[in-house]
Amino acid sequence: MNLDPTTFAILRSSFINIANEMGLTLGKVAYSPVITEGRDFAGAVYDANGHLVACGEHDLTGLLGTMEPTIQFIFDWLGKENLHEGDVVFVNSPHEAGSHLNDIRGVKPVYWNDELIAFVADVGHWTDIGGPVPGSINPLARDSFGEGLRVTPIKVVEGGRMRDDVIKMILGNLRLPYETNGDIFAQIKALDSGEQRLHELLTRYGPNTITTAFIEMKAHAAGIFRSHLRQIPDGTAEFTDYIDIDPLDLDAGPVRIHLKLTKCGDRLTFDFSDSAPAPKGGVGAPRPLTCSGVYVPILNLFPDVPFNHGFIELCEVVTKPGTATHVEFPTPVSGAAAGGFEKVIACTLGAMGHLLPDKQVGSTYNLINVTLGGIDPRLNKPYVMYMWNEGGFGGGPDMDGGDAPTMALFATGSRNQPVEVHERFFPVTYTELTLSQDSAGDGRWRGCPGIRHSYRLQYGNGVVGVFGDRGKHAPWGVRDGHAAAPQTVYVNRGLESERVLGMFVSDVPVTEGEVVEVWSAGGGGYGDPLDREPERVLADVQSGIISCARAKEVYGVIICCTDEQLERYEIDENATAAVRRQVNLVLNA
Amino acid sequence: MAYRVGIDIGGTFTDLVVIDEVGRVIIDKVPSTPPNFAQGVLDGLDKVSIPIDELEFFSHGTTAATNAILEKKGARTGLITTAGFRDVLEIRRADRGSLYDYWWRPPPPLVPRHLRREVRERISFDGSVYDPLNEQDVLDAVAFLRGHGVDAIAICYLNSFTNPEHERRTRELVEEHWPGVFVCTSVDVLPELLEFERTSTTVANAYVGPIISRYLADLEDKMTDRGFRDDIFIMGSSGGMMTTQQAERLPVATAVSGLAAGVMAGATVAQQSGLENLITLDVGGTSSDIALIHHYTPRITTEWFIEFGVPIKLPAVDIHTLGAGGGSIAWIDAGGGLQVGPQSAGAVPGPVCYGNGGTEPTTTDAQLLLGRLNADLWAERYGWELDRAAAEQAVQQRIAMPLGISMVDAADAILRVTVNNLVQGIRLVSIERGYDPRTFALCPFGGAGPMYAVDVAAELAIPDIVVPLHPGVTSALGLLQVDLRQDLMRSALMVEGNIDFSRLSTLFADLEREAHALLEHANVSEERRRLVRQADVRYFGQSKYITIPVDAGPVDDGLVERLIQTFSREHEREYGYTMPPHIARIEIANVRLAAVGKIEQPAVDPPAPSDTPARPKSRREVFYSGRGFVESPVYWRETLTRDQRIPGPAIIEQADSTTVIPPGWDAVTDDAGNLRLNLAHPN
Repeated sequence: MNLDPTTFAILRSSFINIANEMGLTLGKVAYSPVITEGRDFAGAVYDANGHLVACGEHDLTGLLGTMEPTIQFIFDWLGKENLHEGDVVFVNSPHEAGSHLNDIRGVKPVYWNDELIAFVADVGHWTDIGGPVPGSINPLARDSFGEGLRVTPIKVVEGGRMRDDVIKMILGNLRLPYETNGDIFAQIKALDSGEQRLHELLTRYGPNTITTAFIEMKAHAAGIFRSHLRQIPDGTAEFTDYIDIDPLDLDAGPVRIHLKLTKCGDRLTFDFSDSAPAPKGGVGAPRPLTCSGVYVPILNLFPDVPFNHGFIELCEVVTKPGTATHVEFPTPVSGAAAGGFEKVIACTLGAMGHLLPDKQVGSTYNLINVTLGGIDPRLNKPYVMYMWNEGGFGGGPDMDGGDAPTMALFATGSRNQPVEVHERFFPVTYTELTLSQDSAGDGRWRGCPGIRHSYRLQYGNGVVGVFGDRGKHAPWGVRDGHAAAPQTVYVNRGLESERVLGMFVSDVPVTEGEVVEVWSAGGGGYGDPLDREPERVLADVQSGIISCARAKEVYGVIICCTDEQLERYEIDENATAAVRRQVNLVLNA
Repeated sequence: MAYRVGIDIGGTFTDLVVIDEVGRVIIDKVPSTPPNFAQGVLDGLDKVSIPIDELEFFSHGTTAATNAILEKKGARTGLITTAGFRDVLEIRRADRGSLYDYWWRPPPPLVPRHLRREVRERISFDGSVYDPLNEQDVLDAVAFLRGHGVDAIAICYLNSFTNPEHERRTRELVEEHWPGVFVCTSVDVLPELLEFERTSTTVANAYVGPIISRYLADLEDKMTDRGFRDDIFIMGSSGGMMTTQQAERLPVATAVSGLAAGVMAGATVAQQSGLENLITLDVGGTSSDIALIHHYTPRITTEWFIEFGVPIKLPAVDIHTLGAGGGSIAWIDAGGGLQVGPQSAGAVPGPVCYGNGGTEPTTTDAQLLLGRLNADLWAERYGWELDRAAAEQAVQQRIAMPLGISMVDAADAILRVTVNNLVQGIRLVSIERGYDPRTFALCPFGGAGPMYAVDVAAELAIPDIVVPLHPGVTSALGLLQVDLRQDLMRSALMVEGNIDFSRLSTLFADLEREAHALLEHANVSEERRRLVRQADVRYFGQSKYITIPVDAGPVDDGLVERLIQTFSREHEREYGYTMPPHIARIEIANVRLAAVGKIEQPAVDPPAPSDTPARPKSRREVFYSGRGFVESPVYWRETLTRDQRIPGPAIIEQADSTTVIPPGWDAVTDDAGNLRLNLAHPN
């Protein structure tokens, strides 16, 4: 059966809107600021097999790719036949079903006349999921038990009745039971709204039309993705990237993430099985996160492809259990996003660039989680200031990575935290928030610069923790484009007491008056910087994105200041031509 | 005869509504004359031939501020800000404008980096001076910006809302060393927490300042030349009129001028027709604008932006724009799916049937092919013929053939997809704001609004539709239905249990003094003044607040208690819960005062009802989804008598709009002259 094109067009946008409504409901009604302010949530519609049909336009993109495994794990753990109308199952088990323990998923089967038609699912980041440290992101955890409460699939609503015993058991293990109860309520409410809206469509169109529309949704997405795949020649590309270290095994060296990408006909195979064995510290990625790390960049390269199973089916992801892209229970995963997940994204971008030069781009910066904690002496109260930062995207064909840093590729809708809010709630005074000069990867098309957040610990002493990456393996460039400057965190930079913390530390003491500086990376460059038009280099010097020295050394463009008061600059055409000529002579010799 | 004139200046057309002293209404339309919009105003006044000396009240709405920002045609602007923080404007909140798009790049900021000058100074979060203002840095910045030929200067320092001294002194220095340059400080524009939003609003204000000043001066000169001696009023975003002096001081407050007027007209319709809750749907050429009116009051928001990355945190009528309008293009995507919009054929080349070189089929083309749009009426009104054959061919080739359906089915598909886009948009907007659309009536306007209204309402299960008297010029009419209003605010940041009543009282008293001065300046006599206190309240730690009315009594425990109760009620409605006191204390983020000056509202006399029920002026074949073409009577709206029930299928035409009444619905004119559409009672 085929639907008429109008009915399909209407149902298509209706399904997407059901996901939107679920996401908006969750984002609005939840209590945890990570959900309401950080927008760390997603909502989606699945068919009776647990295959993604439609997702929303407000979601944290990195979460969506992990949700098909969530439903499959529920089938495996509980048995699909044991799901019934009115049930809501919660689960967070990251190794089989997700990302990290804080991301709790709610799944509700949707029935029509006793027939299973669909699932609606949502996920939200709870502020705390228990374990030894507040907030439950614990870089020192030796295993999953040291991270927090693992919730294997369990019914929190059964046949329409809330299971208070189960909910109380979960809340009884958490630091913020009241707020989390609000998140639970919001997630259930969002699922109910999704179910209700599906029921309205089922009433109006009947189950056959709806299930046919599910099939056509997938065919539609596959059709669009295939139209792109046809432009890609068959072939294989390999790409290797590294997590700087295994924080619990420093002698082991960098953790290798390797992708062999094969394009054959209308299928892409992403084979990560040649990656390093799973690290001991929580920087490896569970398999669902690896899958998501493939989907997110591919969808970013082809923005018109709808995200559903029709697309997913054409992207086979191969991983080997026990490797850094498929860590198994009970290996910790607290730092998986900044570690393995970001490297999977980078490898996917890198390998795709080899197959499809039109879409080749430099790497992006890497997520850095920074926490400052201590006792605020003014109130005599403990505090934890958590920050995740912006950074640069890479340059690509005919386009710089941009001038202003943004949020990560997998968290594009998230926002940063204002300086004035931090200064109100925490004992800090910011000293700068600025684009970081010369941090972008240079190139014919340069990357976007990174950012510098710096603050003085104004009252009392505290401790700093950093969970990031790319302190050593900087965001790479392509086609002779340069890598960006690596990421780092300093205390008291430029003073005698300077300390360079790097990307993997915890509990570093900081005393009152000391200044912490977080330097995120820019994006990698595209093409040889010597080919960049001098006018663009001039504009970058004018805006301060690069220095005059950099213009000369890397771009071979001699720029002189003609008016110091008004900071006017000019290209010295003759000197530039001479320098560039000379460099070419050396290169050709 | 004394006349009142409302003129809504859009990008393409300038709409006029004239009301005379007995309540008769004249409407008209002339082409806009960018970039010298004042000329279009005079053209319009000429066309309706109102003698200037009989013009008693003149107000207008303009998109000048918004257009300047969208088209990047504002003043060359410089920013003076705290050392270390000049990139706050460019980094924004760092969110990306598209969830999946590696190629998306942030919009360039309104002030380029080298014109953002840093000054050594620092105010702490609590208002104490951390580093004193370095006046030499200010003078250097002024010299630099002057050397670079800027026309406007914005001043915004960190934490300035807690202590305005550094910004005030900086402004003095600027004015002293560069008299005449347009300058504004964030403490005057938006004294509120959140450095990016405050900087963005202040910069946008400076960026449009010289443009608005020039435009208003030009308009005033031209009107004065013609002998007009009274004040010219301009619509503000928050739903009230501003004087030209006010608009020159806070020009960015005119940003949603015309759109706000449309919603205010909707509020009047709600009152007239006794519909407490109303969704206004203004279908324009490239987009549709939706607003919610609850308890007869339009929602006001401070969470809006002119374009992505340019938030304006001043109060504005809460309007949500969807990319679906008369010019929206229908297309087939790479997966074979039918899509409508968000791309639009705009005014040029416009829909295919306009015959101006458009080749992509639009919703207007579909309306024409399905008999909903009257080609003869069009020719009569605009003086040129619609090209039906070209529209047919475009729909046939671009939509019908690829989908393997008939041309008529393709046109129907385009409209149904468009209706669905509107429906999904309205549903999301309502839900996001905590409302159920089924408890609202629908008020469609814009020339095309009443063509879509029933289909949209039916999908949303909205039982009631009210089509205003002049749907095509609703915004211009709204300009004559509002009071003078200016919104003032101060940052409070007081947390429950620690509220300084004397400071709170002083804040309100300061605002009230400022309001009286403003109204005095605008020649509003005491008895016409109304001061409305409000407070922005939230749970301590959250960033979003709800604006709550505050009663006028003494500021004491009781007043705060009532404030908390109202907040709890509103929070419950909007978010579905409240927090118990042991979990969360509330915080008064800001205090506000709306300074309202009553303006006499002219009575609108709906056309006298005729004695005999109207008869159809013609009949034509009109397509209805699920029914096909049905011969439908066509009525002229002005001939309908009160209470004359017109059963669907029928078409009701008027000079500025066409209302489609599908089978199963009927229409009746109410006492206010508004057309009410309802599901026909089965009998």
